[in-house]
Amino acid sequence: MLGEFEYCVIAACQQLGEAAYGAAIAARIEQTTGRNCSAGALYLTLDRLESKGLIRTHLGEPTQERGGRAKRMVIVTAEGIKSAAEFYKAITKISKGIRWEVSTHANCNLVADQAI
Amino acid sequence: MQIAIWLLTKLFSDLLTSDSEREAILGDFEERHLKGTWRALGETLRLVMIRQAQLWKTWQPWLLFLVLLLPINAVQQACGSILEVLFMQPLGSQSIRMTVLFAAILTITLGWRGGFCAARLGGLSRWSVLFVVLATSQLAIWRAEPTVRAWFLITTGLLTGLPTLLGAWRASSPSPLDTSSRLLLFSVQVMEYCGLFLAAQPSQSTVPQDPILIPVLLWPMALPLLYRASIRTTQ
Repeated sequence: MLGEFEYCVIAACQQLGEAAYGAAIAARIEQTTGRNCSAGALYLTLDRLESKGLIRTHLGEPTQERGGRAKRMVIVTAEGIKSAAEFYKAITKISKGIRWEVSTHANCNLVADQAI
Repeated sequence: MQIAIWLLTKLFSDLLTSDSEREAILGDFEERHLKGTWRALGETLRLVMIRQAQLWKTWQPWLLFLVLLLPINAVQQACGSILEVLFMQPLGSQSIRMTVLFAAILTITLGWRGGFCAARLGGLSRWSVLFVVLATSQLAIWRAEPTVRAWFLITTGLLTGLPTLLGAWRASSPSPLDTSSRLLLFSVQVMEYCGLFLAAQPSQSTVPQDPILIPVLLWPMALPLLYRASIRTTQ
């Protein structure tokens, strides 16, 4: 099964389609999750996903705004789509019926209100 | 300041194991307007450390470190100790001066050769191998007497660290095995034998005779074979 960050990367790639490459993926993850996406974490994850056969990468054309440097383009494979779908299903299934909210009781613990 | 940070980022990105990854990451920094920021430098350093550490998952860097560079390091430390002791004494006689001179030559040439071999044999892992070797050589400083630590620092730094880095740099150049390089390597080897022979002469040295020192000093006799094998396999 995929890890959380691996799923985020695959989901960002799917949303970006043919425009999925390092900087765009990082920007999408940062915008969506509000967390920093470091180059190290991203490129290590891309390597891991590629070695699992979940994505394919290739060097794209260099552009002026990148100082004439090439992009690492990412394409999600059929296997990647299947793994991401499985992850999404599992997360949706396990989260079913849970309303996440902070308790107003004395101890103020985070509780999962089972409102089935 | 920004220019300096960006230059450092580019410098460290050279230690990444793939040129395409380097290009992509630097391009990403430019596109995300992170060029010349501490964040870009930090992220590059972190990735470099991970990539270099990943190279140690293979057996080649370990073999290189244990079979080739660790013994060279031991020889260099032995020579460093000779120089340390002799620097603290008046260099009165001709024979002592000769011992110091040839121990210095031996240390420098072994460092150069060690760096060269690390770069040729270690491939992408050369920088992490060199880092480990230099770090272990510096550990000897803390074993030295506090009064001579400064001398030891100078001798190990100048006679070990610098030649090691120069050797690695020479091997990393695009055509390290042209005629001038072969001539240089041959000269280094001749100097090593001269230094080895003269520094290991018990009668010419005032250094207390250490039973381990002589075999350690004689060990580099095996180096030419290893070195030639390395040239054959990497050509």
